[in-house]
Amino acid sequence: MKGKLLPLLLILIVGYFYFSGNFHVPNGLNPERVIDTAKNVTDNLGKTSTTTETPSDGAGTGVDLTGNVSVIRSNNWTVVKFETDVIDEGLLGRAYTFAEKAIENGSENVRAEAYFDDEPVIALTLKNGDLDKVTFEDIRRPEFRIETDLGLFDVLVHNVTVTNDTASVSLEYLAGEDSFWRDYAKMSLAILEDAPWVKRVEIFYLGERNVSVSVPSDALLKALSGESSPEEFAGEISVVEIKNGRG
Amino acid sequence: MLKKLVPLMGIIVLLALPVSASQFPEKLPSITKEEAKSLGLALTYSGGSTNPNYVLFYQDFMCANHAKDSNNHVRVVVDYYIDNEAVEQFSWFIKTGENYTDREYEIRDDDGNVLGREYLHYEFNGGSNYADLRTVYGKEYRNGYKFVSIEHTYVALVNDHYWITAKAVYVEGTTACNLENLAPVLLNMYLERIPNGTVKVPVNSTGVSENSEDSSTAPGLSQDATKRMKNTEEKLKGLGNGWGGFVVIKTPRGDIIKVVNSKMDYAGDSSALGWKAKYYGNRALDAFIDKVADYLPKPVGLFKDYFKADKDINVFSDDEMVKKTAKDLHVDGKSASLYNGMSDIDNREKALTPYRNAVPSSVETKPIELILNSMGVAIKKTLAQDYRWEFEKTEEIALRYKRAGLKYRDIIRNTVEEMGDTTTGMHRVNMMNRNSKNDFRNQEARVRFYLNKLFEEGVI
Repeated sequence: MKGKLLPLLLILIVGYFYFSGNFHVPNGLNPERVIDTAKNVTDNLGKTSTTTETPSDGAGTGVDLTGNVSVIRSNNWTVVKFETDVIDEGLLGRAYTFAEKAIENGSENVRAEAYFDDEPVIALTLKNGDLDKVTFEDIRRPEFRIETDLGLFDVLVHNVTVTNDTASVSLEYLAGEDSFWRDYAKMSLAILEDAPWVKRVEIFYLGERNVSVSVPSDALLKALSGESSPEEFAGEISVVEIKNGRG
Repeated sequence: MLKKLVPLMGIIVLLALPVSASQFPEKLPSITKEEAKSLGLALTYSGGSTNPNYVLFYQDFMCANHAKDSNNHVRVVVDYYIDNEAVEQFSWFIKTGENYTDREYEIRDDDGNVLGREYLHYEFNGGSNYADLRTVYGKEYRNGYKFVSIEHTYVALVNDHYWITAKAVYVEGTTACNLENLAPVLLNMYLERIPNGTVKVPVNSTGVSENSEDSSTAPGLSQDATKRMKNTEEKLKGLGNGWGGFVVIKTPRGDIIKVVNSKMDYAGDSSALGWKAKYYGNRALDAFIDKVADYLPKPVGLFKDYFKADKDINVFSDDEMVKKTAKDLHVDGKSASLYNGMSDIDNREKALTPYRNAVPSSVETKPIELILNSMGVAIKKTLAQDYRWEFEKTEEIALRYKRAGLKYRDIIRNTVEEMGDTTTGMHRVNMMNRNSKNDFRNQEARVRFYLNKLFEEGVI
């Protein structure tokens, strides 16, 4: 019985693939001719064709620009994406060195982007081959920008959510009671600077209790500019304990 | 039922295949995972089918950092037809595309009251061998709720046999990257890989959004949000003028303003506390907030009290390096000593040193330099605090097993396992894996190290 079942099953499987004509890449199961087309596709997946992917050769400075680097040419643009393990101003020089190389290789317009893990960090844009007119951009996602900017505070950020209307950060506050509200106001400013389009800024404190503290952006700006009284500002801040916690 | 179908399927297969397969091209274009990644995208699916008169291959892409429940994506499909079907598909697309007209309906409740509107808006561009159709579907309610979904399809016809489409589908304001601009970039990558193909679709620069000065909305933002952004920025500039200054940072959504307390050439020390003071330190504000606090509840149960926020940390340690780290990063002694033992960041910094002066002085770098230098410190500080967090999680779990009466060996085994089960994949765990040195890049190695410490301290 067993002996007959196996071939039957095989026919069933193979027949199913043939019949439906579907394949999912990669899939090593499919034999013979039909799937040749598919196989070529599969093989092709492992390669880059018109794109050059170069582990960099050190850009002539004798120092290895190690890490993952990819170069894509599209129209008259060269896009260089590279990963970095370190964040400091040296990153600008590294991006610039890539741009110089691309220009040497005959590109007119260059975009060089640095990634920290999978997070985009900065981008350099250079047009018309002009190495003196380079602009740098902060290309962090708003959520990541907020997370890293709050990293200067004594907090453990758990989650950041940014929409068109609200920026909300859940975190644990590690420092003491004295500075709790001072840091609250400063962190709210940091969040609003990073997401200046939101109507409301929320910090969701996680601890022995979970408490949402939020304020309208306008009220925050007014208070920081010294245009409201302490009582007025306190009145704008909403403090809500969340019993069966989020986050 | 299925069993009966088997012979039938076999026959179909035998008849259909040899005839058509030979007429297909040897290779269909495709995009690699690495290429997708380099565009800030994740390749989420590849699939296809072979049929009597055509072969089809498609790939799905999402933003690399897309939210888990997001359905925003780009699908690129290539069909190769042995007959005239590709040409017909294309002319059908052009014909229908030109005939779409905008529509609008009122949304009413059961009593006939108007709650808002629902609309369909089309934008169509046709060329001799490429075209694109943008469909905007929106709902706007009077209470301010808004929903806009966008479908943008780019198509190309190549050598009369290839029919290639790239369709971006997303809900406005929910994307982690600019899918709509990336769709034609992906399409072009396919097009470049067709033998003797010369068709290309126009692309906005490189698929990376450029700031067009006159656009009424910033990428990913609604009109209202864009307006609020401009307004807030003006106010932040005003605030900066009162506080000592501000810097302007270019971002894909437009400029953002960071208030700073001194001129751009920061001369203070580069500790976490130094940077915090530069961006947010303001005595008048502190005094004001202290008064505000009188009207607010006490933050009971919301602070950990590891140390005082605005003071240098006095760590009692024999190790001068631990004291230095604690002061530089403004972290407690435990975080500092774990950081010194496990972090790899300070070693890596040396590798970038040669590039510090690679940019000529004619290029303006100050604002972004400031951002990168403070971000670097913030990442180290976070890493140090994350180690302590991980240490304490380990301690918590180990103590639970100890109280349950387990032997030392089993405490270790169960704790290692439970840490893996409960924290693997967490953002902060990934950061520790990435930024630690040698064996500590592995969570299990860190957890065993913590357990050793706990044993030495007599905790377990």
